Amino acid sequence: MKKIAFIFIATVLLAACNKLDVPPSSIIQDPQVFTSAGGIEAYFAGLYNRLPIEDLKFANGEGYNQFNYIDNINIFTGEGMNKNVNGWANMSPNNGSTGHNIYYDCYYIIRQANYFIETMPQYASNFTSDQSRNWVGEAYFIRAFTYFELAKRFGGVPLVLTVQNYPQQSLDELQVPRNSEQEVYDQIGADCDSAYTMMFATSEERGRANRYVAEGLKSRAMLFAGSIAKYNQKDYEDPDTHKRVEGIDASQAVRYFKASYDASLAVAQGGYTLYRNTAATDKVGNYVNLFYDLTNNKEVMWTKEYSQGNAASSFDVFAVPLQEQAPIGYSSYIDPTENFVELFDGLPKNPDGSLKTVDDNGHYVYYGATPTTTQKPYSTFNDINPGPASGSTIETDVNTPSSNQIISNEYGLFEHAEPRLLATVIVPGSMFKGEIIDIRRGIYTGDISSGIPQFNQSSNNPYSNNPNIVPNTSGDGTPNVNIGNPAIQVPDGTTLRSGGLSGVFGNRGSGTISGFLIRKYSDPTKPTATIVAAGSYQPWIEMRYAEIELNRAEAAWELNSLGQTDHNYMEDAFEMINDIRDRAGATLLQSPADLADIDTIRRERRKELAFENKIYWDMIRWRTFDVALNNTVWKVLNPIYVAANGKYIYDSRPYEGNAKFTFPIKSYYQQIPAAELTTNPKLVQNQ
Amino acid sequence: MKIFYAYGGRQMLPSPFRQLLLAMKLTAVLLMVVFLGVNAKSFSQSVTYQAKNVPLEQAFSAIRQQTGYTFFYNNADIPHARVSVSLEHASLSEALDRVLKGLHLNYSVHGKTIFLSTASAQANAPVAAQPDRNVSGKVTDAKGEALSGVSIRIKGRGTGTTTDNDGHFSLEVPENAVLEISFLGYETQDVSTNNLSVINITLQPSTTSLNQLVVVGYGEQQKATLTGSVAAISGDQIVKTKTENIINTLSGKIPGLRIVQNTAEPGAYNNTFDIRGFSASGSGGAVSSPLIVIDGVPQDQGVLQRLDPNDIASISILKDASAAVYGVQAANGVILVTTKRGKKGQMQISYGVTQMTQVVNKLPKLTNALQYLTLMNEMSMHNINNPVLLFPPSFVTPYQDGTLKSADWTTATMDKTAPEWQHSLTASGGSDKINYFLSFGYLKQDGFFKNNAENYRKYNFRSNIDAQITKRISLSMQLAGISDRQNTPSIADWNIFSTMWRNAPINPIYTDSTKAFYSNPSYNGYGFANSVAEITPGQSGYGLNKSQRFQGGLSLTYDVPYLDGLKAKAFYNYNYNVQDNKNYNKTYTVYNPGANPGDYVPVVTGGNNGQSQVSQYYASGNTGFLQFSLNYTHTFAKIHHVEALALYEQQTSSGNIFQAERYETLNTDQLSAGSAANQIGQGVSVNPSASKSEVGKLHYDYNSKYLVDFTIRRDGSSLFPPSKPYGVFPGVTAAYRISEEPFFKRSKGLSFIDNLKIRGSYGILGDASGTNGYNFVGGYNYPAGNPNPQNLPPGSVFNGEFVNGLGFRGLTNPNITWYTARTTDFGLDADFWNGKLQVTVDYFNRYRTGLLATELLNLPGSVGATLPQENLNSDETRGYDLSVASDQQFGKLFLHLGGNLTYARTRWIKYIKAAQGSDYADWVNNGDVNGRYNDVWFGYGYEGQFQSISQIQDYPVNEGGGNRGNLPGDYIYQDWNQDGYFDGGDIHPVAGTKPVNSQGTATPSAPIINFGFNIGASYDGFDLTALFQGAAGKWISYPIAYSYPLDHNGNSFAKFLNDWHPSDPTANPYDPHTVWVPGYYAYTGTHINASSTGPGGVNNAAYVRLKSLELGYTLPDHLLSKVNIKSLRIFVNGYDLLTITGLKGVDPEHPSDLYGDQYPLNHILSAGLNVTF
Repeated sequence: MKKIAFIFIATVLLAACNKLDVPPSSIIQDPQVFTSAGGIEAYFAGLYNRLPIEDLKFANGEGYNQFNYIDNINIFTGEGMNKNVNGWANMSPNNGSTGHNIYYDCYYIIRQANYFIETMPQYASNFTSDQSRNWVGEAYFIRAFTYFELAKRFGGVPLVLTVQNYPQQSLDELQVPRNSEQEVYDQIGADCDSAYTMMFATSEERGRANRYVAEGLKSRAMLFAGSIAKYNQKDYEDPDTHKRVEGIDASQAVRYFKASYDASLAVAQGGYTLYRNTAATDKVGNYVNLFYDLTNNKEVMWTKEYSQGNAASSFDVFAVPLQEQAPIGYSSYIDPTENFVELFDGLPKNPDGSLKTVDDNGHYVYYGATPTTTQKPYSTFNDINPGPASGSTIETDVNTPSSNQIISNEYGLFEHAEPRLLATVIVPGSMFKGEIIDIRRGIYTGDISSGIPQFNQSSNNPYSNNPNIVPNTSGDGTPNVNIGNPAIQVPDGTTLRSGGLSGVFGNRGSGTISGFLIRKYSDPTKPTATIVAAGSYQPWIEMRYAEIELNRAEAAWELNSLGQTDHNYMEDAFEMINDIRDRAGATLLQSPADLADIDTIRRERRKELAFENKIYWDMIRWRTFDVALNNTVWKVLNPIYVAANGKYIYDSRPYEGNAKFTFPIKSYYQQIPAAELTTNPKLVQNQ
Repeated sequence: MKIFYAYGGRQMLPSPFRQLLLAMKLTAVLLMVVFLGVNAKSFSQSVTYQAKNVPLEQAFSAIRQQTGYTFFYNNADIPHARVSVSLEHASLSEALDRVLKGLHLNYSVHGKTIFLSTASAQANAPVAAQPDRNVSGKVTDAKGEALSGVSIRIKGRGTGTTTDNDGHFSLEVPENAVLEISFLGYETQDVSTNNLSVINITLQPSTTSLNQLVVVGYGEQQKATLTGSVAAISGDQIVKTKTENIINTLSGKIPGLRIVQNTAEPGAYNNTFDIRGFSASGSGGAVSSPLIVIDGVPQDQGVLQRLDPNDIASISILKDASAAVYGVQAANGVILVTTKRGKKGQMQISYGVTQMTQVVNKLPKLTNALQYLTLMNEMSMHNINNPVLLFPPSFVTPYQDGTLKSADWTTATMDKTAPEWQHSLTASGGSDKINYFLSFGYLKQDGFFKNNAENYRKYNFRSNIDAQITKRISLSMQLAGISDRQNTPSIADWNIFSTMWRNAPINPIYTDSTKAFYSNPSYNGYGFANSVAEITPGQSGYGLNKSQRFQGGLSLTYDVPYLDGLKAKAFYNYNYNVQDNKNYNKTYTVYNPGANPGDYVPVVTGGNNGQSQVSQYYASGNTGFLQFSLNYTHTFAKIHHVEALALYEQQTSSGNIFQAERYETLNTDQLSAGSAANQIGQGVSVNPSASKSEVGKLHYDYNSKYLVDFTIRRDGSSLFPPSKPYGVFPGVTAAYRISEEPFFKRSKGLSFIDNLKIRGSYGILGDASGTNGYNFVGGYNYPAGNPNPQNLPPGSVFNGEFVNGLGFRGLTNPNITWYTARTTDFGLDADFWNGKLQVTVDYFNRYRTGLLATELLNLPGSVGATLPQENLNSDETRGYDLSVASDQQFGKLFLHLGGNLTYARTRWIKYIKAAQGSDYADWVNNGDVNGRYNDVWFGYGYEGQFQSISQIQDYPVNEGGGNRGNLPGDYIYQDWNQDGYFDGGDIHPVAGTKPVNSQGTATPSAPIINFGFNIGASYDGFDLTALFQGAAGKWISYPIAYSYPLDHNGNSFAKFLNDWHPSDPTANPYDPHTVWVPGYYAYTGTHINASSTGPGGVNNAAYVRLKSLELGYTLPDHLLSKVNIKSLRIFVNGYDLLTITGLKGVDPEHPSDLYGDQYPLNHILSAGLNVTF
């Protein structure tokens, strides 16, 4: 026994030399990363997820990767109205500055891109040279994309193109002053060129870039730079470095527009075309399908996709019509404005372009759907009708129609609307997920023998005081289908909710506030029960070929206007715009002469790229924001059922909540975060 | 042997006992299966006595000296026998068994007295009547001071008297009577009357409590010679509080140990505790807690919380530099737990059972439909622009006339009571060679949700075996295991409370009378999920959390020859823990009312993303612990007592986590049956770690008068940067026993002081919680983890598949290291009047440096990386703790009174902070500034309620909008800066104790003053224990549901009916002629500013509660001996019976995070018995 004890003790003594050098298993180093394709993929997976892509998780004032789709930048552009912004404030855009340090977040990505560009060559021998070149090119693309996000907000920013280290480098070295706006755009162009020359023609995986995506980025960024050079009115020079941190010399406009135009031409070499996979007769369906058909889609260049459990967007929670609201609550948070709807073809309009709601005598026009009008339930890209959404939470007062069924008179004004509008916006009486979306502001019960004169256009509460109208709730903030939205019997014997099942509610209610709902990106196949926070997985299309065609048309127009004659630019622009219009089902232009006004191209952009978070930046680079937003109140369209004849009148008026928008010229450049000025005294603030 | 059924037949012993014992013998070395229990007569003192052929009385005297128990017997009964015994650490009962062996004597123990009788006669049998005569005298102590209240009993007769205030007594005694003179704190004496009529007696003080052994770091010390601030509690004091969490049973019992119970949720073990406030989180965010050492092995909180209280011999709390011997783990103090071990003697089997009934503690009462509609209408009338009645009379009437019923969601979701059971079975005993302690415990706790949707079961066993292998080698083996399972709803508790409280009573629970169809309470916007469906496993699924914790240790001790007192010991322990969780998050269907009465429209809800999902989580971790030590104890020249220890220990830990989730297309709860689409299967790396330490300890004791302990420890850890892998942590504790000085001993005036000791200690201790982040390692985190689970995914989706991304770690700090704590303590221990009063007072101070913070000098953003954390901040925690105890005896009544109090508060000494725009903003917003207490609560002052419209009109302070919107009853806030406006400039300190973690959110914390007071009494077989516990310097603010009514148009707590409102509910409240009914709260629709004082805001949560009350009765031995039962005690106990607090409607310990929507605390009423065979 004694021996055993001694052996035990001796063993203990021998074993008693724990090694303290135990590396943490969750932390890995370069040799584990840069020697396998999987390591590189993980590197890029850690970069693409942080890229400042303004997707359905981008919120104005809060930044990227947000849960909500409430504070969207499209409330400034006239595309949409935000129910949260309730009419008591003059809203100024702030480009995602408050509460969100995009400045630091972008440099964080740039640092990792720089590190990759510096480090990858050391490990290049592990891969074919094409492969490692492709990856370095991809890192250049990421750097270019990120610098562009900085430049479009701040103008000139410090160009940091190598990995900086502390304390190896002194603070003085790390405090880099701002480069000029032009230098930054030139660097973006150069990085795009590097990416273009180094990268493969096709993306390694869907969700990642290729040489044409890089060139598409160049097309986008150079158009931005050219526009700044041409339209910017306000310059600012860093007094120490004498670099122009705000503004680009007008002399550069031609160079940038040309660079953009050439980049767009280069993208065309990649085999991209507009999506026309659905039967030519179903232009609405084709346009809807464009956003969901990822496998055989020559238009989509670069997407960002989402997966369950990994912070997907909550878009459907906020966009869903009230009548299809999920248990989580919320609905109709971004509602398209009448200003936006008016841009489209196929609607009865007054000479000034506004919707024709009132006749020459000042009486409302009655609209009703002609009995033969049919409407398809635009559901999925392969046109499968999913039937009624399962788990619908709201009782309906219309029968669920089958495919191609006659729709209600609510739809009257939109009978002949341009297909692209119907694919972008849910208009009153149109179908979504197999249901008629019932949008109404009230029921007119008065006598109509001498017509209905236009309601008081200046009143904020035009309906409650009108004895002839049964309005929906008083708008105390709590309306819903059952309470505060009285059901009344109309003369034909049917029972209708005065406010419709999805609004319109004048104030903060759950339904739409504008008379419209957003269809673009609203998932047409998502069952109600799966509409939950961070539960929307529709891919975000960050770049599609239609944008490149629009870039090309615009750059061509600008080059032509700047006296460039090396191409037949106007002819090219004409072809591009008509390609877009044809696919959209809009009226085609007759000749290049129709493009005399740049506004035609810009309007095309507003329609085609609506709700894709691009128009905001267009208005920035066009420098049209300060004119467009000057105590501006967006217009809404209130459909009102006329009990006497079963038809609809549409009351067009400024938003009842009276939210006013103003864009100060100062806002063309965002303020550099104050903390950055402290940590880097060499930075100058935008003026 | 007789088997006692537990209680009510619900939990019976599963198999015959005898068979069980047979099985036990077969696996003798391993373990024994038992049922929880308490040995009511576990005599804590042990007897070591060796004698050959001595008179019996001499053996009695030795036992008396060592245990403090006195003997009571009729001389005639005692044979003039001589006995030979050899006892080593024997329990009292063993000692008596051995001493009395073969003498045909019975004994029984009452209080501190052992009654002896012949086997044929009872101890209190009357002796033959003889004429009595008077004896009188005086009892004094050694210094000649008179002692009053001394018990004088006539042996063999059971009658007696006590001395008066002057120490005098007078008594009628029979011839040749022997008087037993006993007095608490003094040696009991027997005096023969021997025809004397005046007898003066001098009593000698006993010193038993001072001789008590206290477990300290790597050793034991006598209480009298302790040099550090160490508080100890024995197992029998712990079991007097009957609740499931061992931490909660300690509440109020140990000075310096601060405990907040956060919930009574079965199996949640959610409480907050620290030693002397030493857990205040560092600015690095990591909340550090005391080191927990169980039987020499560091363990996590989970093990301590799940320990069976019946297994515990003692718990010691090291509060000062006495913890320094634990080095880098010791900065927050150390909790040392020692489990019971076997003692030589006959096998003793104890069985205990406790049947408990939990009663919900302060669950808020909610409004019914009528009340709800009243409040809703008040809220809609509370609109200056458009006061309207949202619900017209036509809507309200059906609830008034009974056509429509109000739904009571709370009653449908929760029960008011829930049962709980504890069983314990222990067996212990031993021979010359082997001692063993074996135990088995079982706990079952049901929860308050209906369907028993939440419940908890725990099984534990322990086997402690000590064997003398050879003359010089002994072996100890300890095995222990705890296995538990917690059944829960699939939805988090707080979520269920949220929905339950917010579902409007106008929304029915079921759509139809058959209760087959759950309604959708959210269909009209006045509710959330159906909480009844949420607690129904068949609807919403379930959660199941299982854990196992195993521990096995083996040590060998070798008595080194040639050097007396030198021992070598090797010890190895292995811990293996498993956590196995499953959640079946099922979709279920609720129904909206349809267009026509009787119609309903199904709505699928629940699940994850609208689909049923099964997720499983499996984590295992293991820790190897190895220790080698040399221990030397010797007394030189009778007065120089030396103990020295040299010790090496090392620890290695590793673990694995695996997690899988699948969606279920069928209604199955099996992962294997799930769909492959969107499945998740992932491992999580658990960073392995290793440490090694060398410890040196020297205790020197000069004649028990001058005492000093030096400790030094060098810790090395893989968590420290390679550039600085080792830290050295020295400590010194010293004490001076003035009472041992000759002048003191000689002085008559000081003779009432038995012991007077002053102590002082200083140590440098560490806290490594800041080094867990590996801030010194660069590279990449992989998988990245989720930097922001809501927003930023940890990777990207490529080709439709999620790809984990790298997490870029950025700049490193190669110098990051542990926090350093310098601990100082000054203390005083004093014992008076032979233990009738025991006082311990300590002042302490802990100064920490090296708390993590990021240097203000940030890098320019264009670097793309931030500075790493560095060891920059420092703080100081100061306070005192005090304990007072008194033992009194009045005849057969033994009384123990004890009280303790701790005050502790922490302030920042150095806090890295960014400057704010103004001095005021700096003061308010830089919550933690140098020199400020870390828990100051900045808020608004509250000055009552407006009583009338005219008061509002005349009110000089603008509360916003020119007070145009204010109504009578609205809260008046203090214009603290007196600028005429109530605004952000009026923020000032309103309270203390709002600790803020690094994320800036309030964390639950202990109050700054904690106290406890306990009373113990025993009389004959009865014993009574009452424990009061309380806290002061505690404020709390509950958000939302507790603070204002009708959040999200949901239901409200009924307390909000007591509000200001117009007497005519249809009257325009803004009309100055409206007549108001005053109330405690403002008119519905007015929110209290939650950071102001006042109703629903920041409120004082000081409280005193009767934490535990136990009444027990031990059956007399003579009844039990016939059935071969050694002892039997029955008891009733109440836990948290009574609380006195100013806080309204909620328990002061109930936490405010998660909106306060949390599982309540409980009262527990229990009854049980302990039987020992």
